[in-house]
Amino acid sequence: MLKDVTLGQFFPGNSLLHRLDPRIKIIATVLLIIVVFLAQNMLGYGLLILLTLLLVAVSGIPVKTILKSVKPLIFIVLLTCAMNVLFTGGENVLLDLRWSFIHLKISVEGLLGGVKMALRILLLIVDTGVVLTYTTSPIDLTDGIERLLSPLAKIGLPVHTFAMMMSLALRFVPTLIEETDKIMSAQKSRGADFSSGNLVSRVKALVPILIPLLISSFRRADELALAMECRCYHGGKGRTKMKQLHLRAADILFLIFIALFIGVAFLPGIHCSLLGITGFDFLF
Amino acid sequence: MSNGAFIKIENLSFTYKDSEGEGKKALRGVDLEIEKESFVALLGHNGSGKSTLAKIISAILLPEEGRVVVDGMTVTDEDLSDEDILKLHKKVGMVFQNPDNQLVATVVEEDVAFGPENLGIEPEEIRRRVDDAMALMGISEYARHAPSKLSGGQKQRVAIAGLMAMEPQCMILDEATAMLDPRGRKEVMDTVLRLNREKGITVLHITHHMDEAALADRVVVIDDGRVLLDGTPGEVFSKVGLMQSVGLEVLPQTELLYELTQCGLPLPDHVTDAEECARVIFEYYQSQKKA
Amino acid sequence: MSEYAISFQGVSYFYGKGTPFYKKALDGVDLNIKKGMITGIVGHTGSGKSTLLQMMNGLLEPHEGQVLLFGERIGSKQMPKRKAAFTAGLVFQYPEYQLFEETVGKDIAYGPKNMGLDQGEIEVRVREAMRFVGLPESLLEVSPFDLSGGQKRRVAIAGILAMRPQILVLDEPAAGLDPKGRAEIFGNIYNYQKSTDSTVIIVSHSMDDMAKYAKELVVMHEGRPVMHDLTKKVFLQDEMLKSIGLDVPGITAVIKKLKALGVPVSEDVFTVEEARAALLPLLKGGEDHA
Repeated sequence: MLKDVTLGQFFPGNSLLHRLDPRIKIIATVLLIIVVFLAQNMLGYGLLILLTLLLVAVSGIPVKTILKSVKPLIFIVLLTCAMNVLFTGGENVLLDLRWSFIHLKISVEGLLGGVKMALRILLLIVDTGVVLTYTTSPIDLTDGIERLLSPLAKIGLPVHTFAMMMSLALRFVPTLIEETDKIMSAQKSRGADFSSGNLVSRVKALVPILIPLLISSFRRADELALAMECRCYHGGKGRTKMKQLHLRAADILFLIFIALFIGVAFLPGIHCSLLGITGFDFLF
Repeated sequence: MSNGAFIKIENLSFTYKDSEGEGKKALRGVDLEIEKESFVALLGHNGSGKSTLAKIISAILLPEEGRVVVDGMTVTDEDLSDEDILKLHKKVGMVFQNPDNQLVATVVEEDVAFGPENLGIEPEEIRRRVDDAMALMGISEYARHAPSKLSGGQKQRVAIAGLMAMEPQCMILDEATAMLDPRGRKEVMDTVLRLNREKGITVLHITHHMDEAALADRVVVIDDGRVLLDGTPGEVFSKVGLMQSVGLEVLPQTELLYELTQCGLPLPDHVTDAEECARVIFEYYQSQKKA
Repeated sequence: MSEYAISFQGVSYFYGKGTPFYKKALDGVDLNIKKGMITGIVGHTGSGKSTLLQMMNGLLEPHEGQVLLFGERIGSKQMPKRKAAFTAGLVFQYPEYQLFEETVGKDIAYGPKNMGLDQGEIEVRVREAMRFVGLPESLLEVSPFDLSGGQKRRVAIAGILAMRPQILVLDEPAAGLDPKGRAEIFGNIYNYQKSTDSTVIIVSHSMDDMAKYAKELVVMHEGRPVMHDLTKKVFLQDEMLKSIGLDVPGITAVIKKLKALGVPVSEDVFTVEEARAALLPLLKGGEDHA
């Protein structure tokens, strides 16, 4: 049933990551994304994996749940990995196959590149998930985005309107899902068949759902606009917010931690001299 | 016991234009005064013009003739400023029929805060008002819930809490109970009555349910764009024939007495209470027995 | 063939199995609904009424037990789900929101068309259904979206009637209508049942309407039918109804009070019409009847 679809991937909880200011989490996520793309060598990846494991542990979200959310993307991960393995040329050739016009050549560099790419995608998914989407409710997320973007309002960008649209969309997704469910049941009761026939007839069968849904959405939008006007809504001008975001020590410390980690691990030349690692050039 | 008029409606006319440009008269010269702190029920069949009236009072529609004065402000002025309209909406809150289409936030307390936020009130003050309004409407326990998970009656109470947080003087319920089940209707009526009695909120309740109208101080029946009946519930309900002729009904006990008087029995017809109805029938029965 | 139109045999249904939202919507329901009469179903929101309704035409499948239409199990060879949908025509709450065609005629024809009927038969049925709900034929070519709320409701009900279901199931057919619209819709349904002798099931919150139109009444409470009897017999147990938070018809309070005061009026009076008929002889010639 459509009703069972949950919106986003938010897992309510009370961990340190759940309690952080959404703005901090958005900034941290952006930093982490950049770092994942900057990581060039195995040491960098190793540190990132360590950090990710730490974040997962802190978030309190079961590893099983996280693996489950990665599952639908595993195909993409494998595909990119394979592409890298097959199409990256290199000097240390491991395998060289010629079969009619197909020329298969796998090199150490290609293999490493593939693994790096797979790691990169996995790290991206898990990091953004744990730091942001799994631990931040959609409304906090919208709130955080609005406040982070608020300086842009000064140059005339409709930041408030955008945020209001997002939060209204979030509000009405469950309502519309319920409505779709209802209309589908009603048309099924009139003998509608959504599951058999060829593509054309299936698309045609959707008309009796889409039209009522469209009409009711327009009606809802109309009524909602009226209700909002009656509740004194007049855009973002002069508007205040009940919920204030306050940066706490934990927020600052978290950001410092992430920044330090990035500094130590990735600023060119720093880690090598700090950790004194040399001689593994072919790995990097 | 007049408290003075809160809403004054004079000779109000309104015509809807349909897609072909043809006009349909919704109101034809309505005169009506709604007293401060009173609870007025507005009855009328679908299309009688009740909702149009509500929309003109809250300056959503402009009439072609007549005027409406709300608490000293003429709201039918064509050049009413945006600030005036804000002031009006702060004073007069509207609750609509479909509870789903008036809630804007994904969390109950955020929704209740929506009005005060629009008014630019200080965050701490909003917090206080939201907490008070939620306690008043008995929805504090759902403060962090998603509105989509609540029942119809609960959603309407959230909507009303959202108005109360704006500290209005008057509340217009535009068929706000029409989509609710009996339990939801009772929840809403109980709270609205309490707001009227305890907080002195003027209430204009548009409804099809006679049992709700019976709770009002005064019942106004609109038909074909005009005020047809205006009086206490007892006075209005006693006109059973007239009510039925305009597509309305009355309470079963009032209808029973009317039916009996139609058969020639000399019974009073102003009764809206079931116990009272039984008592007058009993008294008549006793007098007949003696005779 | 069975003597019952619909039989529920040990039917259970759960929502959100294995989640924190787990709820038993129906809990081992055994219920037989008789042919050829109007049966009312009452109960609070959440008592399982909607789930019950959606099982009658095969929209929902029971997790336990089985549902039979005229003695045939839904899902069996004799009563596949698709046939069940046409056998028990289900009118949802606020059915006007399912209208989608350009004209009233086409919209009503949607069900019959899905049944695979030929054009001539469809036209006959569309007109017949419009008559049942009191829509003039002049509306055939009109867009359903130009109609009033009450008329839209009738078009939607006609859309189900045009399938000529042996069982008509309606969820709050008069919800949101004004008293006149209410009385008209219920009058249409009542006359439809009389003239076709079909089985009609109505879910409603209005005990006054149930008293007027339903011959038998099923009371649902927490996923089970707790009462099922002639409507009058159910209303006689007003204490039981009140204990589960349901009302009795409005006139009952007057009759009970009169009875308590010592007026010898029969207790099974649940409509204004009946009350008048019962009281008139007592009041007109008081001494004869005392």
